[in-house]
Amino acid sequence: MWRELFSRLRRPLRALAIAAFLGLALGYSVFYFVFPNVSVPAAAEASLPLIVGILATAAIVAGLVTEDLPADVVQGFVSIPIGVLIAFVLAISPSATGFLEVRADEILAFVVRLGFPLYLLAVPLNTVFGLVGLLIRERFGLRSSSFLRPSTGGHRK
Amino acid sequence: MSGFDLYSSEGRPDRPIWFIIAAMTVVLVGLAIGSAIDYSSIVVAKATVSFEPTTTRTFQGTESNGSLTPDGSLTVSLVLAVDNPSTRTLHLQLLAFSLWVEDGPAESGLNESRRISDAFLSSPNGTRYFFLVFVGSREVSENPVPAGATPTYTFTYTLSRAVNPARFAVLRNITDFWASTAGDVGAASWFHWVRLTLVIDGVLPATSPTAASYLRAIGRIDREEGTNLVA
Repeated sequence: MWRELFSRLRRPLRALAIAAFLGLALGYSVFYFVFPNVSVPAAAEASLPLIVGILATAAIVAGLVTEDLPADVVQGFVSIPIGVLIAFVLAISPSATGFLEVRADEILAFVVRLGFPLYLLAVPLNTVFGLVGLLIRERFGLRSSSFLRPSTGGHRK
Repeated sequence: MSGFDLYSSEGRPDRPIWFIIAAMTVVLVGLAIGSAIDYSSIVVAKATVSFEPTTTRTFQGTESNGSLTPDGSLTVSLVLAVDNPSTRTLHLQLLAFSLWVEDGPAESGLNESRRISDAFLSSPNGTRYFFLVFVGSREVSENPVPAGATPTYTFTYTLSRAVNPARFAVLRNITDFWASTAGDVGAASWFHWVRLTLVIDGVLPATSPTAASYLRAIGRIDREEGTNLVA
């Protein structure tokens, strides 16, 4: 029973893992976008080419391990709240030192409001560049590794 | 859609791509953790850095009762002990300093005109007037403030007839008053106010004129000590 449950969960878990990867890229990009001069690497102004490069590269690589187009789209959307969460955690990280005297909801609003252009940008970037990755995957005939491949092959071609 | 259905067991496994994802994840997590540490250290610096100003007044060229002669001068040594418990190195950038002396002649009604220009403190016991002896701000380029250290910096201010005749004349008038009424120039109350701007090392200033204000201020620490009588 557990094996069958795991087999059923493999596909959503795989999509969630890829969405988490995209969300990590998005969350870091948002933090860099909002606080470019305290990020690593530090810059006086946020570099849009660098941000687009990070998001596009992550989307292409994610597309290379994505199983199909619907999964690509779902992953792209699921990555947005994950990105918000990661950017929020980074922005509130100084509170661990005990010296940040602001409310968590204010930080969250700050990260959502100032990062909003990137969240909007991430949706088409994840979809389009994810599709590019999917096409490359098909071109080179990549298949899911055995440890990630669903065993319920009966209902699939 | 069938073109994207890649469950077929034929073809090459995508395991190497997962290694690429793992490597990129490690890099992104490293950048994120580095950013969080950098940001936290800046917040800690902005919250914990403080300074303690100490002033030492030296009158040169005085009469026997302590009042200033026309060729005398007042030299004030301002010593700043900057306490930097953070892990960031700081640079002194701007120093503003003001010093007031209690204006006895104005308080006693001997000089009504200075009551208009003097700063004052009102209390139930009456109004006290203070003459501005030194005022000004300047850029400073001293040795940096190391992380976890409390270095001291000394700045000297001099007032004499050659430097500012009008202000020196008032100071002479005030020292004459206190020397003749209290027998000691030191009987007058003195107030100082110091504002210090420090820059956190390694934080690039936002260059764009349209940059958000928090980006311009995030690398700067402003502190002030003392009583600003004109505020």
